[in-house]
Amino acid sequence: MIRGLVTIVRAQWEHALGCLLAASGLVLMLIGMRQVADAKSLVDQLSFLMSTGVFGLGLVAVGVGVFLSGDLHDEWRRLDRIEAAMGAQAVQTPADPLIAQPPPSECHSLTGGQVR
Amino acid sequence: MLRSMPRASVGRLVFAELDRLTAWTLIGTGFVCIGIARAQLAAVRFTIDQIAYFTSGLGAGFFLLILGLALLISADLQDEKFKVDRLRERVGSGKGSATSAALRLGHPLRNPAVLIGLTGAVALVTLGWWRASSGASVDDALAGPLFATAGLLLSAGAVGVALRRERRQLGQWRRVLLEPFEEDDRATTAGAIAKDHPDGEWTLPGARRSHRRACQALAFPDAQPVPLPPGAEPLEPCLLCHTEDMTDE
Repeated sequence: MIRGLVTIVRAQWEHALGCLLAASGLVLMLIGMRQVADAKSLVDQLSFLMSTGVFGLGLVAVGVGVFLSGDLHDEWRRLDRIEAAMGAQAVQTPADPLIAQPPPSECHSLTGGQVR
Repeated sequence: MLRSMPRASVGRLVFAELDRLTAWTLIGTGFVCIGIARAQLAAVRFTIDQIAYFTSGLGAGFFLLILGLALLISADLQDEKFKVDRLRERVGSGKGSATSAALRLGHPLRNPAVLIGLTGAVALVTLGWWRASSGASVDDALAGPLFATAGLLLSAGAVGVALRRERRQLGQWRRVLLEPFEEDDRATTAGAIAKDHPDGEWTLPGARRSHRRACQALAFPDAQPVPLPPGAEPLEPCLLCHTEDMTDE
């Protein structure tokens, strides 16, 4: 179970980090909300708002950014695999120009069936 | 890792990743600004002073965060743009003037609309800080955070729209580029899976997931994996051994 979780986190570390940051930010904001509600004066409320609310919101923003960045990295890796597959095919058939349409099924298998 | 690299390589790496390095520096600085404002805010006991620190911390900190995140995402988009352009060249559809179509778009954050938006945002945040620090009463000063928030929303909107437009454009090019592969993919999915996994898919008696033969889930001492017969109803793919498939979906 833990081993599986580690594997998933390793494979998707950017998504995992993004979720972790966003979740931490949300928890911080909830704690801040509670503290602000319990505070008696505006002075204390502003302190809590700054330390938990603003900081938590910042964490959520960074978490979302890292998550999106992970998505873009995934897309880049997919394109990279397709490029590598095309390169491999060019090495196998040096006489054929690349412009000639490569058999997509072969590219497909080289990219692990990920062209979707 | 850096220690074992020659100095020239480190320099090249820094140059190549300058956008990301700057992005993380801006994000870190943003959090430092918020932290400093928090410390100063805790040190004063008058609400009106606190509002000034709150506005400056919120405005400066979040503005830097937004800039950093925009740079981070635009760096990823730039990488993808180069990759798409190289693929277009390879496939042959990008010869001549079309080759650099992706590159002609330029940096998403260097377009005039974004720069105007960011300048307006800086002006609003500064105005907010000025209102908060020079307000005669708490009610006056409270307009400060409002101006700052408006500025932050403006900056987030400006970079958000630019990045979204860029991503949509890239998505269109990618779709055009990959269309032949996608069509084939639909037609040959079953065959390709069989080709990729010559040992076929396995499962455990009574389980509802399918695994590759080398999956850790099948490696328990008491596990008795059985191969899935061809034509059997497909099972849910295992999260461990099909992780890579899932990341690319």
